[in-house]
Amino acid sequence: MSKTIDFENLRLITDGDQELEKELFLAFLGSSAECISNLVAAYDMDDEEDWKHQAHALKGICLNLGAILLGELSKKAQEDYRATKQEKEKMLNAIQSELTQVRQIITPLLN
Amino acid sequence: MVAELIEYSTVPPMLNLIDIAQRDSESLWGIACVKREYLRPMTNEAFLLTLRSALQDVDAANVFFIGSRRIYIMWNGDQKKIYKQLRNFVGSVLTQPGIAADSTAFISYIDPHINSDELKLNIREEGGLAGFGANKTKQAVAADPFGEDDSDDDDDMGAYSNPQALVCTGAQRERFNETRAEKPYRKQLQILVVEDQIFSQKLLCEIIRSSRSNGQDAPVIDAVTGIHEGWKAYLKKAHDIVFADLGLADGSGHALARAIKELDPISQVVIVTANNFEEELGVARQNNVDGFIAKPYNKKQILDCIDKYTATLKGRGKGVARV
Repeated sequence: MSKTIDFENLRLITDGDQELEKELFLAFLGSSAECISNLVAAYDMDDEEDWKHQAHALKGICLNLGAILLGELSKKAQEDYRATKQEKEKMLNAIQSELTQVRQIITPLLN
Repeated sequence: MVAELIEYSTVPPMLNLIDIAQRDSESLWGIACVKREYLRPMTNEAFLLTLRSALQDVDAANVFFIGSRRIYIMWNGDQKKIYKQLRNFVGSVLTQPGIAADSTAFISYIDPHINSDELKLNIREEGGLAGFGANKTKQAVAADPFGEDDSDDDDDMGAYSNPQALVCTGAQRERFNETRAEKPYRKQLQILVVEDQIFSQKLLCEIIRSSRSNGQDAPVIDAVTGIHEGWKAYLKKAHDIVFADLGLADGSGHALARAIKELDPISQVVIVTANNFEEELGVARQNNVDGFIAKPYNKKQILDCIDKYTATLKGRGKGVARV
């Protein structure tokens, strides 16, 4: 369906149960919003450790959803947690842009 | 009167004797466990001398003063008859005033053919061989073998401490051991999920719920978001399997895994993490965890862990029985 999200693994888990999928998508939207908000706060505060932790958290949920590219961007952010603020700003923009793509795919599936 | 009554205060001779009893399915070895907290204050020698009267019908008996809270008596003879004699004798002569002679609180019977593995773990812990309060136990035995022991007190926080402050008191541990002994009799598996991202937590719980498809009741799942909550939950319920993430808000899942494995070496702990690094895997190995699953995990990996545990449980037999 999309390179942004590979639903294969998730659908093996939900076994095609659409209600369950909706529930999981909603949980993803909530969790990812929380992660990105915390990541922005870590960026603002120049908190390297928290940046690393939040990027790790985002990576985990993206991989479980099948949002591969977003997972890779989060992984890079985690690994480069000592990058300059300028580099982190670029990483953050890329993550937010990809997250928007993911949301655009998921949101119609909630109806 | 018993011909030979041997006293031990270390764990290895008891482990050897349990092995011997376990190997020979025809043997008549029986074991009784006496709780010291119910006994009158007395020395080991006085206890042994008095005990002889209750062991008239056996040729040989061994008494093990393991740790500061339990005395184990092993004899080769009529298991039920000798146990009843011991219970009546200890109840009427050796217990503190106010303890009913027919009470079963101060003594329990352990069948070495059924409960050996669990018993061996318990005495290793009580004797300090499993890394729990070893110094404290040795000091208590050497200095005051039958004196008052405060190791059960709730304020005894240092006994089972670890660097991440995941601790349990003596009383909590006592309750935990009782809960753990009930594990083999549970109708449903109890599974603990420690994951702070709600999406991943829901996903994992959903996979676990689907494990009912092999004809069993669905497992009971407790889902928490941090290591301290996880530790409390484990102490309370002694879950059959624990799935723990690593990067949690209040600490690392490694600390929780280590604490659980130290408390309960036969527990089943599985790490689920997006940090699929050699370093993390190395720490997990050091902690003797039972599985390490990298995110994204799939259904089969999780269900395999549950199946593996279920198979182990079937092969292990039943828990400590009470006569």
